[in-house]
Amino acid sequence: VTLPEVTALLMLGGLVIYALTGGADFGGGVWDLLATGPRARAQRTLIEQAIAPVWEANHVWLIFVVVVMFTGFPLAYAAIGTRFHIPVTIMLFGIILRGSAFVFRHYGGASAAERWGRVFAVASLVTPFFLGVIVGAITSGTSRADGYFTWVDLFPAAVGLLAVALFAFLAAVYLTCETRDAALRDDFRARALVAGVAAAPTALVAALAAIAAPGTAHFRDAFFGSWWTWPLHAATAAAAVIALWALVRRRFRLARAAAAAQVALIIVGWALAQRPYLIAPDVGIDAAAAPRVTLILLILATSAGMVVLAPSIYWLMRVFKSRRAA
Amino acid sequence: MRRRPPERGRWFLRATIAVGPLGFLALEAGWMVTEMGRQPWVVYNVIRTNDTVTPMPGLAAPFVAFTLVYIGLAIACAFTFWRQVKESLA
Repeated sequence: VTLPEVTALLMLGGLVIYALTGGADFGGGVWDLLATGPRARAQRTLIEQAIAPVWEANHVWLIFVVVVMFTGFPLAYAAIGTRFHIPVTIMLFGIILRGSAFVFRHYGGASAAERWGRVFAVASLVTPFFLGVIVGAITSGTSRADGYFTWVDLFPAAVGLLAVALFAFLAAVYLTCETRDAALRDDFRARALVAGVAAAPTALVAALAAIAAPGTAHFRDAFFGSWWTWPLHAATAAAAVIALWALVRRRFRLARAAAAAQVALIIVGWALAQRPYLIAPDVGIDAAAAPRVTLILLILATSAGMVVLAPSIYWLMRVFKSRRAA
Repeated sequence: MRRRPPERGRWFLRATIAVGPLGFLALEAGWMVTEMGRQPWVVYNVIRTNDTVTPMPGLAAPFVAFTLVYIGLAIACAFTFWRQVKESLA
Protein backbone atom coordinates (compact mmCIF):
# COMPACT_ATOMS: atom_id res chain seq x y z
CA VAL A 1 0.00 0.00 0.00
CA THR A 2 1.48 3.29 -1.12
CA LEU A 3 1.29 6.66 0.60
CA PRO A 4 -1.27 8.03 -1.90
CA GLU A 5 -3.37 4.92 -1.30
CA VAL A 6 -3.34 5.52 2.46
CA THR A 7 -4.54 9.05 1.75
CA ALA A 8 -7.24 7.70 -0.54
CA LEU A 9 -8.26 5.33 2.26
CA LEU A 10 -8.72 8.33 4.54
CA MET A 11 -11.13 9.77 1.97
CA LEU A 12 -12.93 6.46 1.70
CA GLY A 13 -13.31 6.30 5.47
CA GLY A 14 -14.68 9.83 5.53
CA LEU A 15 -17.09 9.04 2.70
CA VAL A 16 -18.39 5.91 4.44
CA ILE A 17 -18.97 7.78 7.72
CA TYR A 18 -20.59 10.64 5.80
CA ALA A 19 -22.98 8.22 4.09
CA LEU A 20 -23.88 6.53 7.38
CA THR A 21 -24.47 9.80 9.23
CA GLY A 22 -25.02 12.70 6.82
CA GLY A 23 -26.61 10.34 4.31
CA ALA A 24 -29.20 9.35 6.89
CA ASP A 25 -29.90 13.06 7.50
CA PHE A 26 -30.73 13.44 3.81
CA GLY A 27 -32.91 10.36 4.07
CA GLY A 28 -34.69 11.94 7.04
CA GLY A 29 -35.50 14.92 4.83
CA VAL A 30 -36.88 12.58 2.17
CA TRP A 31 -39.27 11.08 4.75
CA ASP A 32 -40.22 14.60 5.79
CA LEU A 33 -41.21 15.20 2.17
CA LEU A 34 -43.13 11.91 2.06
CA ALA A 35 -44.74 12.19 5.50
CA THR A 36 -48.29 10.85 5.19
CA GLY A 37 -51.12 9.36 7.18
CA PRO A 38 -52.65 10.33 10.52
CA ARG A 39 -49.19 10.66 12.09
CA ALA A 40 -47.59 12.82 9.37
CA ARG A 41 -47.01 15.58 11.89
CA ALA A 42 -45.51 13.24 14.47
CA GLN A 43 -43.27 11.75 11.79
CA ARG A 44 -41.91 15.18 10.91
CA THR A 45 -41.35 16.04 14.56
CA LEU A 46 -39.48 12.80 15.18
CA ILE A 47 -37.29 13.38 12.12
CA GLU A 48 -36.47 16.89 13.29
CA GLN A 49 -35.65 15.71 16.81
CA ALA A 50 -33.46 12.92 15.46
CA ILE A 51 -31.51 15.19 13.12
CA ALA A 52 -31.24 18.40 15.15
CA PRO A 53 -28.45 17.52 17.61
CA VAL A 54 -26.17 15.80 15.11
CA TRP A 55 -26.65 17.12 11.57
CA GLU A 56 -23.96 19.78 11.69
CA ALA A 57 -21.42 17.30 13.05
CA ASN A 58 -22.48 14.76 10.43
CA HIS A 59 -21.77 17.10 7.56
CA VAL A 60 -18.26 17.71 8.86
CA TRP A 61 -17.37 14.41 7.18
CA LEU A 62 -18.09 15.79 3.74
CA ILE A 63 -15.80 18.72 4.52
CA PHE A 64 -13.21 16.22 5.73
CA VAL A 65 -13.33 14.34 2.41
CA VAL A 66 -13.17 17.57 0.42
CA VAL A 67 -10.21 18.91 2.42
CA VAL A 68 -8.26 15.65 2.22
CA MET A 69 -8.83 15.64 -1.54
CA PHE A 70 -7.90 19.32 -1.87
CA THR A 71 -4.66 18.73 0.05
CA GLY A 72 -3.77 15.19 -0.96
CA PHE A 73 -5.03 15.03 -4.55
CA PRO A 74 -5.10 18.61 -5.88
CA LEU A 75 -5.28 17.41 -9.49
CA ALA A 76 -8.37 15.29 -8.78
CA TYR A 77 -9.90 18.17 -6.83
CA ALA A 78 -9.35 20.50 -9.78
CA ALA A 79 -10.68 17.93 -12.26
CA ILE A 80 -13.87 17.34 -10.24
CA GLY A 81 -14.38 21.09 -9.77
CA THR A 82 -14.09 21.65 -13.51
CA ARG A 83 -15.74 18.65 -15.13
CA PHE A 84 -18.53 18.36 -12.61
CA HIS A 85 -18.92 22.07 -11.98
CA ILE A 86 -22.67 21.95 -12.56
CA PRO A 87 -23.63 19.01 -10.30
CA VAL A 88 -21.19 20.24 -7.63
CA THR A 89 -22.79 23.69 -7.73
CA ILE A 90 -26.30 22.22 -7.55
CA MET A 91 -25.22 20.09 -4.59
CA LEU A 92 -23.76 23.16 -2.91
CA PHE A 93 -27.05 25.03 -3.36
CA GLY A 94 -28.82 22.03 -1.89
CA ILE A 95 -26.54 21.98 1.17
CA ILE A 96 -26.88 25.75 1.72
CA LEU A 97 -30.67 25.76 1.41
CA ARG A 98 -31.09 22.61 3.46
CA GLY A 99 -29.07 23.89 6.39
CA SER A 100 -30.65 27.36 6.32
CA ALA A 101 -34.15 25.93 5.93
CA PHE A 102 -33.63 23.63 8.90
CA VAL A 103 -32.82 26.61 11.12
CA PHE A 104 -35.43 29.01 9.69
CA ARG A 105 -38.08 26.33 10.03
CA HIS A 106 -37.31 26.08 13.71
CA TYR A 107 -37.17 29.79 14.56
CA GLY A 108 -39.43 31.38 11.96
CA GLY A 109 -42.90 30.73 13.36
CA ALA A 110 -45.71 28.51 12.14
CA SER A 111 -46.27 29.85 8.61
CA ALA A 112 -42.55 30.05 7.91
CA ALA A 113 -42.14 26.53 9.30
CA GLU A 114 -44.27 25.08 6.53
CA ARG A 115 -42.53 26.98 3.74
CA TRP A 116 -39.01 26.26 4.98
CA GLY A 117 -40.04 22.69 5.75
CA ARG A 118 -40.72 22.19 2.08
CA VAL A 119 -37.41 23.78 1.09
CA PHE A 120 -35.66 21.49 3.58
CA ALA A 121 -37.39 18.40 2.24
CA VAL A 122 -36.83 19.14 -1.45
CA ALA A 123 -33.17 20.04 -0.83
CA SER A 124 -32.85 16.74 1.09
CA LEU A 125 -33.89 14.92 -2.07
CA VAL A 126 -31.90 16.92 -4.63
CA THR A 127 -28.59 17.05 -2.74
CA PRO A 128 -27.93 13.30 -2.29
CA PHE A 129 -29.12 12.66 -5.85
CA PHE A 130 -26.41 14.93 -7.19
CA LEU A 131 -23.87 13.51 -4.74
CA GLY A 132 -24.64 10.14 -6.32
CA VAL A 133 -24.44 11.64 -9.81
CA ILE A 134 -20.96 12.98 -9.05
CA VAL A 135 -19.83 9.62 -7.63
CA GLY A 136 -21.23 7.87 -10.70
CA ALA A 137 -19.63 10.36 -13.06
CA ILE A 138 -16.26 9.87 -11.33
CA THR A 139 -16.60 6.25 -12.37
CA SER A 140 -17.97 6.65 -15.89
CA GLY A 141 -17.43 10.34 -16.66
CA THR A 142 -15.92 9.91 -20.07
CA SER A 143 -18.50 7.73 -21.72
CA ARG A 144 -19.41 10.84 -23.70
CA ALA A 145 -17.27 13.42 -25.42
CA ASP A 146 -15.20 15.49 -23.02
CA GLY A 147 -16.78 18.61 -21.66
CA TYR A 148 -18.92 19.87 -18.82
CA PHE A 149 -21.81 17.47 -19.32
CA THR A 150 -20.21 14.05 -19.10
CA TRP A 151 -22.22 13.48 -15.92
CA VAL A 152 -25.48 13.62 -17.87
CA ASP A 153 -25.66 9.91 -18.46
CA LEU A 154 -27.51 6.80 -17.42
CA PHE A 155 -24.94 5.43 -14.96
CA PRO A 156 -24.51 8.65 -12.90
CA ALA A 157 -28.30 9.07 -12.80
CA ALA A 158 -28.70 5.48 -11.61
CA VAL A 159 -26.11 6.01 -8.88
CA GLY A 160 -27.93 9.22 -7.87
CA LEU A 161 -31.19 7.29 -7.48
CA LEU A 162 -29.38 4.52 -5.61
CA ALA A 163 -27.91 7.08 -3.20
CA VAL A 164 -31.37 8.53 -2.50
CA ALA A 165 -32.88 5.06 -2.00
CA LEU A 166 -30.08 3.89 0.30
CA PHE A 167 -30.11 7.09 2.37
CA ALA A 168 -33.89 6.91 2.71
CA PHE A 169 -33.55 3.27 3.76
CA LEU A 170 -30.86 4.11 6.34
CA ALA A 171 -32.90 6.98 7.75
CA ALA A 172 -36.06 4.92 8.10
CA VAL A 173 -34.15 2.10 9.82
CA TYR A 174 -32.43 4.56 12.19
CA LEU A 175 -35.76 6.23 12.97
CA THR A 176 -37.26 2.94 14.16
CA CYS A 177 -34.69 3.15 16.97
CA GLU A 178 -35.53 6.77 17.81
CA THR A 179 -39.01 6.49 19.26
CA ARG A 180 -40.89 4.51 21.89
CA ASP A 181 -44.21 5.17 20.14
CA ALA A 182 -45.15 1.80 18.63
CA ALA A 183 -47.35 3.24 15.85
CA LEU A 184 -44.73 5.75 14.81
CA ARG A 185 -42.07 3.08 14.91
CA ASP A 186 -44.20 0.89 12.63
CA ASP A 187 -44.58 3.79 10.20
CA PHE A 188 -40.83 3.91 9.79
CA ARG A 189 -40.54 0.13 9.81
CA ALA A 190 -42.87 0.03 6.78
CA ARG A 191 -40.91 2.84 5.13
CA ALA A 192 -37.61 1.06 5.78
CA LEU A 193 -38.97 -2.13 4.21
CA VAL A 194 -40.24 -0.26 1.13
CA ALA A 195 -36.98 1.67 0.70
CA GLY A 196 -34.85 -1.41 1.35
CA VAL A 197 -36.71 -3.38 -1.27
CA ALA A 198 -36.76 -0.40 -3.67
CA ALA A 199 -32.96 -0.08 -3.40
CA ALA A 200 -32.56 -3.49 -5.05
CA PRO A 201 -33.99 -2.60 -8.51
CA THR A 202 -32.17 0.74 -8.32
CA ALA A 203 -28.91 -1.10 -7.74
CA LEU A 204 -29.79 -3.42 -10.60
CA VAL A 205 -30.34 -0.46 -12.94
CA ALA A 206 -26.97 0.96 -11.86
CA ALA A 207 -25.31 -2.41 -12.50
CA LEU A 208 -26.96 -2.70 -15.93
CA ALA A 209 -25.96 0.87 -16.76
CA ALA A 210 -22.39 0.01 -15.74
CA ILE A 211 -22.47 -3.01 -18.05
CA ALA A 212 -23.88 -0.98 -20.93
CA ALA A 213 -21.68 2.11 -20.65
CA PRO A 214 -18.38 1.95 -22.53
CA GLY A 215 -16.65 4.29 -20.05
CA THR A 216 -17.09 1.92 -17.14
CA ALA A 217 -15.20 -1.08 -18.57
CA HIS A 218 -12.41 -0.93 -15.96
CA PHE A 219 -14.96 -0.57 -13.17
CA ARG A 220 -17.13 -3.40 -14.45
CA ASP A 221 -14.18 -5.78 -14.84
CA ALA A 222 -12.93 -5.06 -11.33
CA PHE A 223 -16.39 -5.09 -9.79
CA PHE A 224 -17.36 -8.46 -11.25
CA GLY A 225 -13.99 -10.16 -11.78
CA SER A 226 -11.64 -9.56 -8.84
CA TRP A 227 -10.62 -11.94 -6.09
CA TRP A 228 -12.71 -9.88 -3.66
CA THR A 229 -15.77 -9.79 -5.92
CA TRP A 230 -17.76 -12.69 -4.50
CA PRO A 231 -16.81 -12.42 -0.82
CA LEU A 232 -17.70 -8.73 -0.89
CA HIS A 233 -20.97 -9.13 -2.79
CA ALA A 234 -21.93 -12.05 -0.57
CA ALA A 235 -21.26 -9.96 2.55
CA THR A 236 -23.27 -7.04 1.15
CA ALA A 237 -26.16 -9.32 0.25
CA ALA A 238 -26.03 -10.96 3.69
CA ALA A 239 -26.16 -7.55 5.38
CA ALA A 240 -29.13 -6.54 3.20
CA VAL A 241 -31.02 -9.75 3.95
CA ILE A 242 -30.28 -9.53 7.69
CA ALA A 243 -31.45 -5.89 7.73
CA LEU A 244 -34.77 -6.74 6.06
CA TRP A 245 -35.26 -9.87 8.17
CA ALA A 246 -34.53 -7.92 11.36
CA LEU A 247 -37.08 -5.28 10.31
CA VAL A 248 -39.69 -7.94 9.69
CA ARG A 249 -38.96 -9.50 13.08
CA ARG A 250 -38.85 -6.06 14.75
CA ARG A 251 -35.24 -6.46 15.87
CA PHE A 252 -34.60 -2.80 15.20
CA ARG A 253 -31.13 -2.40 16.66
CA LEU A 254 -29.90 -5.38 14.66
CA ALA A 255 -31.56 -3.88 11.57
CA ARG A 256 -29.73 -0.62 12.19
CA ALA A 257 -26.34 -2.33 12.38
CA ALA A 258 -27.02 -4.48 9.31
CA ALA A 259 -28.30 -1.55 7.23
CA ALA A 260 -25.21 0.50 8.12
CA ALA A 261 -22.97 -2.46 7.22
CA GLN A 262 -24.80 -2.87 3.91
CA VAL A 263 -24.32 0.75 2.88
CA ALA A 264 -20.68 0.76 4.02
CA LEU A 265 -19.95 -2.41 2.02
CA ILE A 266 -21.56 -0.95 -1.12
CA ILE A 267 -19.28 2.09 -0.90
CA VAL A 268 -16.21 -0.04 -0.16
CA GLY A 269 -17.06 -2.20 -3.20
CA TRP A 270 -17.36 0.88 -5.36
CA ALA A 271 -14.00 2.17 -4.14
CA LEU A 272 -12.23 -1.18 -4.66
CA ALA A 273 -13.53 -1.37 -8.23
CA GLN A 274 -12.60 2.25 -8.82
CA ARG A 275 -8.98 1.64 -7.82
CA PRO A 276 -6.40 2.63 -9.17
CA TYR A 277 -8.39 5.64 -10.35
CA LEU A 278 -9.77 8.62 -8.49
CA ILE A 279 -11.53 9.76 -11.64
CA ALA A 280 -11.75 7.23 -14.40
CA PRO A 281 -10.08 6.82 -16.78
CA ASP A 282 -7.40 9.48 -16.62
CA VAL A 283 -6.82 10.61 -13.01
CA GLY A 284 -4.97 7.90 -11.11
CA ILE A 285 -4.46 7.76 -7.35
CA ASP A 286 -0.67 7.94 -7.65
CA ALA A 287 -0.54 10.44 -10.49
CA ALA A 288 -2.95 12.92 -8.87
CA ALA A 289 -1.30 12.79 -5.44
CA ALA A 290 0.42 15.76 -3.83
CA PRO A 291 4.17 15.59 -3.06
CA ARG A 292 5.26 12.98 -0.51
CA VAL A 293 5.92 15.47 2.26
CA THR A 294 2.40 16.93 1.90
CA LEU A 295 0.85 13.47 2.18
CA ILE A 296 2.91 12.61 5.27
CA LEU A 297 1.94 15.88 6.96
CA LEU A 298 -1.68 15.39 5.93
CA ILE A 299 -1.82 11.88 7.38
CA LEU A 300 -0.12 13.05 10.60
CA ALA A 301 -2.47 16.01 10.90
CA THR A 302 -5.62 13.95 10.33
CA SER A 303 -4.40 11.31 12.80
CA ALA A 304 -3.76 13.97 15.42
CA GLY A 305 -7.13 15.55 14.65
CA MET A 306 -8.88 12.20 15.07
CA VAL A 307 -7.56 11.99 18.64
CA VAL A 308 -9.77 14.99 19.39
CA LEU A 309 -12.56 14.35 16.91
CA ALA A 310 -13.24 10.65 17.48
CA PRO A 311 -13.98 10.89 21.24
CA SER A 312 -16.06 14.05 20.65
CA ILE A 313 -18.20 12.38 18.00
CA TYR A 314 -18.45 9.27 20.17
CA TRP A 315 -19.79 11.32 23.08
CA LEU A 316 -22.13 13.27 20.84
CA MET A 317 -23.65 10.06 19.50
CA ARG A 318 -23.67 8.47 22.94
CA VAL A 319 -25.50 11.39 24.47
CA PHE A 320 -28.11 11.75 21.74
CA LYS A 321 -28.37 8.37 20.04
CA SER A 322 -27.96 5.57 22.55
CA ARG A 323 -30.75 3.70 24.22
CA ARG A 324 -33.21 6.46 23.60
CA ALA A 325 -35.95 4.03 22.65
CA ALA A 326 -34.68 0.61 23.57
CA MET B 1 -31.96 56.80 45.95
CA ARG B 2 -29.95 53.76 44.96
CA ARG B 3 -27.56 54.16 42.09
CA ARG B 4 -27.97 51.70 39.25
CA PRO B 5 -24.87 49.55 38.69
CA PRO B 6 -22.89 50.90 35.73
CA GLU B 7 -23.66 47.93 33.45
CA ARG B 8 -27.39 48.74 33.78
CA GLY B 9 -27.01 52.46 33.14
CA ARG B 10 -29.00 54.08 30.35
CA TRP B 11 -25.99 55.31 28.38
CA PHE B 12 -24.08 52.12 28.81
CA LEU B 13 -27.01 50.16 27.35
CA ARG B 14 -27.40 52.62 24.49
CA ALA B 15 -23.72 52.31 23.69
CA THR B 16 -24.05 48.52 23.78
CA ILE B 17 -26.73 48.68 21.09
CA ALA B 18 -24.71 51.14 19.04
CA VAL B 19 -21.57 48.95 18.99
CA GLY B 20 -23.56 45.80 18.19
CA PRO B 21 -22.95 45.93 14.43
CA LEU B 22 -19.26 46.77 14.85
CA GLY B 23 -18.31 43.12 15.26
CA PHE B 24 -19.86 42.30 11.89
CA LEU B 25 -18.24 45.34 10.33
CA ALA B 26 -14.82 44.29 11.61
CA LEU B 27 -15.37 40.76 10.34
CA GLU B 28 -16.42 41.88 6.87
CA ALA B 29 -13.69 44.51 6.68
CA GLY B 30 -11.13 41.88 7.61
CA TRP B 31 -12.37 39.60 4.84
CA MET B 32 -12.21 42.41 2.32
CA VAL B 33 -8.66 43.31 3.33
CA THR B 34 -7.42 39.73 2.98
CA GLU B 35 -9.33 38.90 -0.21
CA MET B 36 -9.08 42.18 -2.11
CA GLY B 37 -5.75 43.26 -0.69
CA ARG B 38 -4.10 40.09 -1.99
CA GLN B 39 -5.16 40.68 -5.59
CA PRO B 40 -4.02 39.99 -8.27
CA TRP B 41 -2.67 36.95 -6.41
CA VAL B 42 -4.79 34.09 -5.17
CA VAL B 43 -1.76 32.69 -3.29
CA TYR B 44 0.54 35.63 -2.68
CA ASN B 45 3.56 35.60 -5.02
CA VAL B 46 2.79 32.02 -6.05
CA ILE B 47 -0.20 31.95 -8.36
CA ARG B 48 -2.39 34.67 -9.85
CA THR B 49 -6.18 34.68 -9.62
CA ASN B 50 -6.36 34.88 -13.43
CA ASP B 51 -4.49 31.60 -13.77
CA THR B 52 -6.70 29.69 -11.35
CA VAL B 53 -10.15 30.52 -12.65
CA THR B 54 -12.11 27.54 -13.96
CA PRO B 55 -12.33 27.15 -17.76
CA MET B 56 -16.06 26.52 -17.27
CA PRO B 57 -17.99 28.95 -19.49
CA GLY B 58 -21.06 30.90 -18.35
CA LEU B 59 -19.82 31.67 -14.84
CA ALA B 60 -22.28 34.56 -14.76
CA ALA B 61 -25.05 32.03 -14.11
CA PRO B 62 -23.72 30.63 -10.79
CA PHE B 63 -22.57 34.13 -9.80
CA VAL B 64 -26.08 35.55 -10.21
CA ALA B 65 -27.66 32.48 -8.63
CA PHE B 66 -25.43 32.58 -5.54
CA THR B 67 -25.99 36.32 -5.17
CA LEU B 68 -29.78 35.91 -5.34
CA VAL B 69 -29.78 32.97 -2.90
CA TYR B 70 -27.72 34.90 -0.37
CA ILE B 71 -29.84 38.03 -0.72
CA GLY B 72 -32.88 35.84 -0.12
CA LEU B 73 -31.25 34.20 2.90
CA ALA B 74 -30.23 37.61 4.27
CA ILE B 75 -33.86 38.78 4.04
CA ALA B 76 -35.10 35.58 5.67
CA CYS B 77 -32.48 35.99 8.38
CA ALA B 78 -33.54 39.60 9.04
CA PHE B 79 -37.19 38.52 9.30
CA THR B 80 -36.29 35.72 11.69
CA PHE B 81 -34.23 38.05 13.91
CA TRP B 82 -37.02 40.65 13.86
CA ARG B 83 -39.51 38.00 14.90
CA GLN B 84 -37.32 36.93 17.79
CA VAL B 85 -36.98 40.55 18.96
CA LYS B 86 -40.74 41.14 18.73
CA GLU B 87 -41.44 37.94 20.65
CA SER B 88 -39.00 38.82 23.40
CA LEU B 89 -40.68 42.23 23.79
CA ALA B 90 -44.21 40.82 23.83
